[in-house]
Amino acid sequence: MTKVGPQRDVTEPRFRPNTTWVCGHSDLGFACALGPTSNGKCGNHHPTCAHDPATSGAPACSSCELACHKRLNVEGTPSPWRECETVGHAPCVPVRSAWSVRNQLALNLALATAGILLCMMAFPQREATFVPGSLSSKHAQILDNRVVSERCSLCHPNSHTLAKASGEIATQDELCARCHEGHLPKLHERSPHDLDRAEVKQLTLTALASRGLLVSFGQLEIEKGSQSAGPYDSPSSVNEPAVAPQLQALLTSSELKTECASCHVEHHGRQSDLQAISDTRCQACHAKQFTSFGNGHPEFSNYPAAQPRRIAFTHKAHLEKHFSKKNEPFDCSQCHVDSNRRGGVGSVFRTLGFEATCARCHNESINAAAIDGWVLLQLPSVKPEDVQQSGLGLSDWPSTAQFGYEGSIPLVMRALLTADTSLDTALKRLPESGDIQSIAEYAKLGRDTTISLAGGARALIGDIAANGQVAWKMRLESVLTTALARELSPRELKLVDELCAGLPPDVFRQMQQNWFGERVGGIAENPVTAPQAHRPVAQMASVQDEDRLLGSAEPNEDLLLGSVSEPAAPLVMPKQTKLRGAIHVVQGGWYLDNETLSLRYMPRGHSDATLAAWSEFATLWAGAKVGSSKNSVPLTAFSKQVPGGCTQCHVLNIHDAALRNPDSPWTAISNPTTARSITQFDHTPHLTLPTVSDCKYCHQLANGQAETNAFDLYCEFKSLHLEQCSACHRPNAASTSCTHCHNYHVTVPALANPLSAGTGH
Amino acid sequence: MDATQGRLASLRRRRIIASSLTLLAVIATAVAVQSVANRLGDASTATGWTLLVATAGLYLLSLRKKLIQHRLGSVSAWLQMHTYMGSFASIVFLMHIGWPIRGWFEIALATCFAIVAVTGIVLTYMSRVLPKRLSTIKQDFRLELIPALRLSVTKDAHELAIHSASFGEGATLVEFYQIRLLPFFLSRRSWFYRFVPTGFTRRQLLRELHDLDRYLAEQGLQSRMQLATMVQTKDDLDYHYALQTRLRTLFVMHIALTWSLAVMIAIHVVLVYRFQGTVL
Repeated sequence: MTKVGPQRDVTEPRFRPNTTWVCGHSDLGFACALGPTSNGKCGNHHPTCAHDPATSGAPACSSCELACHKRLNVEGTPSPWRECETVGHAPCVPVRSAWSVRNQLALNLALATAGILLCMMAFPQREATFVPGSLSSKHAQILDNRVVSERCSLCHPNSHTLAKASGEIATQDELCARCHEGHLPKLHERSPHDLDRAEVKQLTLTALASRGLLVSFGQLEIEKGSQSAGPYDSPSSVNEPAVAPQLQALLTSSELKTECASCHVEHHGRQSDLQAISDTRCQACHAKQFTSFGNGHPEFSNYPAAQPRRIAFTHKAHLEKHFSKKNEPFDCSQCHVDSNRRGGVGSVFRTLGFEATCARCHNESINAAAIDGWVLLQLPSVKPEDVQQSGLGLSDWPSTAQFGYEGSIPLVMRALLTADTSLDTALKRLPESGDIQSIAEYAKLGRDTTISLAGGARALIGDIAANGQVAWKMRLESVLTTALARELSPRELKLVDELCAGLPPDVFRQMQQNWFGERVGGIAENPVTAPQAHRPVAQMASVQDEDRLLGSAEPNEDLLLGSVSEPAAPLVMPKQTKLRGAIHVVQGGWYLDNETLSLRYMPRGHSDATLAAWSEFATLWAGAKVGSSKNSVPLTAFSKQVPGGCTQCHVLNIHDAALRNPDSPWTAISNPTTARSITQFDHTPHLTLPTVSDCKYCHQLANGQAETNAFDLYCEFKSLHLEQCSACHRPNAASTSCTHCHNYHVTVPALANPLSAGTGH
Repeated sequence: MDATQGRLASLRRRRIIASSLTLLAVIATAVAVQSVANRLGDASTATGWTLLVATAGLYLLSLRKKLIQHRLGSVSAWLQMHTYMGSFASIVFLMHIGWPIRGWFEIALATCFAIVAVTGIVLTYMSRVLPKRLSTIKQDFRLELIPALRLSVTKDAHELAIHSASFGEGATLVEFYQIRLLPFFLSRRSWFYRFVPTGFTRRQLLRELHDLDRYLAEQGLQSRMQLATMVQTKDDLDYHYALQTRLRTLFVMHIALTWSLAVMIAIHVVLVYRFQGTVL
């Protein structure tokens, strides 16, 4: 029978799980049917009950009796009814229900959690508490240093109020750039690969076009390799239905913005690799999608790229001619590998330097090239009647230079004479070699030309004797300025200084004395009728000075000796050998050759600064002269007149920026270690592999004759093929990730700089 | 019978549909997150917001329990939705966190979420397994009544034992009661029993009681049989108590940590947006 109404509640009170309090006698089996009040008081204390046994001792009222009528119906167990009579209706201590305990626990836990977290925020240790993991080892000092408080604000612009208070609000990327812009100068661009936006567009358009993703260009005409991105600057110009959707997206500027945190995720522990990125993420922006390096990667083209060079070296000639003649092995590592250093591509360098590589074969020939010294200045020969002719100013011309119109005007002397505009006509007639007898129409013009040049030489010597290096420098500066028709660059001014360095002015005074019989200080002396013994006038030793002490016919010396009237006692002169540069000036320097009436320079082997400077000067001057109408004589071979054959190996390009910049054009171009191009390669681990360690696996000489004097872009090797790399770089073998071979941040323009042009694809 | 079968078929169909939807949601989320990551997007933000929405959906069950006046579907349907959404949230949670988890606060948050998720999963499992185990006992006992019933059985056994002393062979029964049964009725079962309830004690006591039969006459045998029934009842109550307490404890843990979890999630979201790259 179904019990309904209040009767059921009384006899079998319905269980209410969501009541806060339950009777304290529940566990004893006779819970009060009324139950505790909502605020946890026992129901038997209800003030309306007049028979509260706890207070009056009177029998319970009917309601209280009914409350004790709860019977437990456990099958087969006797009723605990009698307990009710003993315990009676004594008030209980209500207890919380399980539901209430659960809620109370949840609330207390939540409050405790919130309280603890809020307290932690107030403590100085909050950074350690709330930091979501330690920073990588590269950035660890930011968070763990004890110098700066509010360390989070060094990277997070909103972490503290300090930045806002100081009015200096920067985005997180800007905060990154503050530290990293030193080595990534274009980081602030926030463009892909730190490239110029125009360059990114240009690259993408080219890539899309080459893969047929641009259906029709319309008014867009993509010139592959063009530096100009002009046509793509205006989004409206490409908003055509024929243009692929990728391009539309590309030309929205916001699409080109990148964020540092997109790739570099921090707070992943000390050992985390900030540069780690999946290949699929790399390809997010790229037009050409492919699955892996071995499957779909674009084929290399022109990799390694042709590069400018300053050394005219050909592997082919050395391999097939020189080394084979000597029957020596052509070992690449001899000239290119230095395991003690690391460069831009590992321990492999374009050259290890002259001493380590070339000197073994070339040092001897270089030293032999100027064994008699390099003639910088030499008097031309005239005829005796010209000397006697008063109007020509050659009255003191040395007698040893009076045997006809002949001789040679060396490069240096020619350059110095060029500053004298009165000699323009004579110099124009002079051939490139400087040989007077090779003058066109020598019979007709030889005398006038020679006499003009002789007069110029006489004035030149006098000028330098009087003014020293200043006159030398002014003449050279004048020559270069006129030839180049512009102001000289700092590098060129430094070059002129180099040309003057070490030049001893007293040599020119001795020329005047010895050759023209002139007194120092402009006082005419007895003309020298015959050259004295050959006396080197190098900076170190002066035989002339020794002669004075030994008692030559110098008037001053006579005064010192105090016996003007008495002839000096004949001294026994040590027998002097004939002056030879190779013998007496072995360590290099300037010296006078009175026999040939010339000023000579003995170089100091390879890397002689004076010869290098004159080679540069000759290249500059000749380069300027080629295009100049002032001098009709082609002077392209000027630099070859400098002994040692510097320019046979060193390619001095007049257009090379190094000739105008402070950098030396004499050092070989190498991949700079600081520059980051789009492609990176490290030879070092490859050299340990037997199959590729001899270099020829990758670097195979191209067929055909290489041009030895080409100095623009030069590469005599075949381009690598993808298969050569993918033979090892394949799944489960060597790494195939994009970042293994490619840099994301590039510091050199991908298109403009040939050094970085080896993008491969 | 047909109605029961129909209900079971409906329940099975509902489970299949809900499981399929959950699986589809997980796959869709994984694909979306991967796509975001491949496009250099912030996958953590994507999974974070998905997790936040799913977690908020889990709290709807509590809300539904409060709103009893409105017709908002059966609680069992809501519970089922809660179960599957919890499974989905747990998988998204694994996508969201990096491993290993670093930072004290992040570890606390992840631990709290993990406890809630694990207790939820275990509760789901136990809610399906325990009723079958409890149904092996003849009678159902409500957890709140078990202490009183246990007390009642204890008192009845005591009375019976005292009453047995009045007849001759009853002394043997009383002695056995005093030595072996009284501790059983008075004491609570061990913690081990609460975790792994076994019938070892029950079987041992019943066997020993049965061994007394040779010393008992008819009246004593009757009392022995009553005591055996009471031992079985007490053991049944203990068994119920152990299993139901286990369920309730897990449920309390599941519920009690949800609000702490809500607090920590709120702080986590605030910190994430406070410390992100852009200027607020």
